[in-house]
Amino acid sequence: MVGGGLAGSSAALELASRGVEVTLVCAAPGATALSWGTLDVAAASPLRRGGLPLRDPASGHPLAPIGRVHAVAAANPAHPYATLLRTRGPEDEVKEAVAALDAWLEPSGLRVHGSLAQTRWLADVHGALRAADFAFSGAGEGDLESAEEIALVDVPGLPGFEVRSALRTLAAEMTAVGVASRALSIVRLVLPDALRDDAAQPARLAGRLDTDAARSALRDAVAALGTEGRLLLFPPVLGLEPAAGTRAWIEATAGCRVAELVGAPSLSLAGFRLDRALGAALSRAGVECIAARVERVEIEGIHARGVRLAWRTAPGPPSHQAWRTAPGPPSHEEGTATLACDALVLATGRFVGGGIVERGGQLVEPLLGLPLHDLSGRRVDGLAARQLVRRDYEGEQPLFGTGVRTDMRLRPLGPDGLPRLANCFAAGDLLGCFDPARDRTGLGVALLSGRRAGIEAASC
Amino acid sequence: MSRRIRVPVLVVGGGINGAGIARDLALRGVHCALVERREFGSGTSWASSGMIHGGLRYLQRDPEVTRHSCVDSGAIQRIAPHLIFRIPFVMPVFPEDPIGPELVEVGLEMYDQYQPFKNGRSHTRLSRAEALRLEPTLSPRIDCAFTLDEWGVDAARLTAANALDAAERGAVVLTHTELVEWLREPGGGRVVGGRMRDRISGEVLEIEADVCMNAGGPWVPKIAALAGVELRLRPGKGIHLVFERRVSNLAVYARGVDGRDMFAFPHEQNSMAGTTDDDFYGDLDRLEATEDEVAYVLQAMERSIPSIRQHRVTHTIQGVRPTLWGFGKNEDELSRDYVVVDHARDGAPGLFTIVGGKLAAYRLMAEDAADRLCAALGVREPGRSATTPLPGGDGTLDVLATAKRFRTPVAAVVRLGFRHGTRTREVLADHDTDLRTDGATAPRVVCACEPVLDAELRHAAAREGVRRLTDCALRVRLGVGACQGAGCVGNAAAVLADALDWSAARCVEEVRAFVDERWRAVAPALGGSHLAAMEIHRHSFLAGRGFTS
Repeated sequence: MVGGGLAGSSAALELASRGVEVTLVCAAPGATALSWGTLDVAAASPLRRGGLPLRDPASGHPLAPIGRVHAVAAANPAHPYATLLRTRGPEDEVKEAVAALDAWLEPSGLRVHGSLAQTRWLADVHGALRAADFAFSGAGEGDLESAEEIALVDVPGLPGFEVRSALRTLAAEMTAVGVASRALSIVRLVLPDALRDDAAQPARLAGRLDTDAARSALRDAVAALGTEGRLLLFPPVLGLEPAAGTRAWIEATAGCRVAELVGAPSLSLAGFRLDRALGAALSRAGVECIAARVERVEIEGIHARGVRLAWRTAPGPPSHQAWRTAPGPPSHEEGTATLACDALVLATGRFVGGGIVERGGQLVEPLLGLPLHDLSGRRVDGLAARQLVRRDYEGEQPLFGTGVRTDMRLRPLGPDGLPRLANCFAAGDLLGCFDPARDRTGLGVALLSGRRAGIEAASC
Repeated sequence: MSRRIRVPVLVVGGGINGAGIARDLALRGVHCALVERREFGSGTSWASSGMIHGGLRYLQRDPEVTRHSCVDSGAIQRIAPHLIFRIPFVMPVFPEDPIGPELVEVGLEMYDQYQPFKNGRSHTRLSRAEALRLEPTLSPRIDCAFTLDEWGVDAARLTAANALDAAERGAVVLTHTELVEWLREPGGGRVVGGRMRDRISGEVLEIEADVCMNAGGPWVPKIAALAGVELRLRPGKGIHLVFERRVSNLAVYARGVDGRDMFAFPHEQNSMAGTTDDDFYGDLDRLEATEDEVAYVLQAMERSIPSIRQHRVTHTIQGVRPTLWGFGKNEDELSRDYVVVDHARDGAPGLFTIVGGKLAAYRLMAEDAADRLCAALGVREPGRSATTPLPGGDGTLDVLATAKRFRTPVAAVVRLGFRHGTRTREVLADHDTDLRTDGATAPRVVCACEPVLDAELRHAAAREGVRRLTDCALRVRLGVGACQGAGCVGNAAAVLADALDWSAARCVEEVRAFVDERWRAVAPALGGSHLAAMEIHRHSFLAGRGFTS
């Protein structure tokens, strides 16, 4: 397994569950760690341009998430969903994948809430509405429609959350979308002196909230926020360690429902918690994790036989992911090693993950030199990135739909249109022909394709 | 029924020329109206190299320009010490250069004579080894190198400081307000003011004036044409590349394939490289760098700094120089000097135009233009802009004490002090007062690249007349760092929404305009490691915050 985001972890966990010995190589956290609390299989932002409709254009009926999944695949036959959902259909495939993810994460205290049958209305830190299908613990408890009264929790000193503006936006959007109106208010959680200086750095505050010391200092202030029937919506800083259960502690202390607002990249620790929970799941499943960069793939005929690793500091558990405790190869300050394998899964991401890079003014897939295709299916490896951008920011950007193409078994295709290797599979953002920022398929593709790649790899 | 006001002078164009003139007049007690179509300095001033250099390159052809620039650079340093920073330059000499070190040194010795005017140090000659020690990014192929001394400035802030000072001294200062038509005396005679339209509210305002000044920079021909006057420019487009961080310790000279001088220079939080100079007759309102221009700058820089392509270009800035008309010369040889034209002889008495100019000598030109206007008005008051400090320029800020007093990170106070000088404490005190009734907290960092505090944004909205989110990129350098606003723009919009009472829809519209503008600056130079940053950017704004349809 190359890549440790949601796609790579799902593949590894799926393989491990089938009794396959898996080693996961991961250079650094990727896009998963930057995610913001929702698992978007086919989410929508109402009142927004682009993305998927909230209503069926023909009947005018509200579209359940399941309808949006179908709409994605229908609108873009090259979308990974078209491949992934062709045989079984989204109902079973998504249900099964989400159930598997929930089971992997649950021992770490992270659950996956939601369903494809009903849109759940969540609010983000700017007060904008999200029509979500699934969300992780934190944002996942923030369904607006099931609350009698909603209070946004202002935490003075915390950057990145402008509570008055968020309230105004939320009120306007709930009215515009027709989410039944609730009483909206702002409550303030004034931090005790011991925590006040931490507020300037959200991650530090989140880490403190996991501790007993901070909780005892906060207990009275938190208890004062609660009223029966109220949903307290916090900025997404409720803890770093999912197992610490900070959200649940606040809920118990306040005596009313507590959730986080869906985050923004500058202010969300939801992705961080997801990354940690995945690491813990890998560890529980006995997956060996190595912090190293893959230099090249060793190939014999049409088979990948191993990967050449390189590291600068001691290999072993990634230092930034201390929970990934499986031992790595013998400790060296700098070195290389070759790992043999019977099957190889690439879940290296797009630009954030480093699955696609621009070198010398040319886009390349660095491990196998795989052909790359843009959103419309055009071959684009060897072109410069700036040749694939358009001036309309919100419109289609071929560059950001760029990736590899695969066969039905998720094996990336070579220049001749046939699988490049018989035992190599691709998953996640490395897959081309879809633009998750625009079609809002988010982590859904990562989960579905990761799991499928794991199942396929197990057959090798 | 439109509103109507009366002032002695109407200045159209809020670039450095217009703002400088408005301030110069205000200091003489002449009330004027200054009208800017977008944000102060958003045309050419902001897109300059941000230097008040003496113009070494003009020394050979036009020593008068060099002298003007150096003398005025000294004056600007006195009135706005907080906005100015020293930029030492290193000029490498390569074995293949047509002009050898001896001749270069002759030129620099001449230039040394002007350095005292602007508190600059004399040049030094460095051996190859000395040069490489001082500036390790230099190509090891150099023979030797020279240093010389120049000064940088935040040009957008300098422009705003002039306009805001004019406003404090009684001028009517309007941004996002455009000239619809000139008011004429019956029979198409004397120009007696202008009809303005507020581009945000749509309101119309008539400004009657005794004399009118067209200070529209590259737009002067368009503005003059509204009075039936034909004006010719030789507009020259110039772009700079902006790097994620500082590329070199010193500013480094480079030479383009066509022999033009360029440089890569540390500027505020980044490095910039440029500039190009090409005739431009396209749409001034949708100016974008081209791939060719980007490639040209990188290629030129590569000879002096071989590693230049390894650095991340975050975006480009581009502008058009309102160069005086002169036919047949190469773009670079055209004068950067200026003229003030009285359009009485063109059948439009009462209207003047200022054409051309240079950031480094803006004050001198503004004073000269104000002299002309005062003569037309019969005002005898002398100019005082060379000696009266700009807002915040009247002393030094105790950064550490200020940081402590207002519980604000030192790094943020340093940058705040750079923009606001001695007024930094007022910016922070306003915030304190606002919040005392509101669960007092220290100011929060909104944009970490600069950094920009929420207090500064609130101050910009309440006291500096910022009206749009896009204004803040210029006024306080919001969202122009590595992430191009992905991490801050939503929150900055929320702060302004609070201060300016924007609706949710307006807020989203402001974010969209900001992001569109950033993208146009990013796309032409997009590549390398910036791809990951822009992938996050897109997720933040499309999947994340999204936009109203």
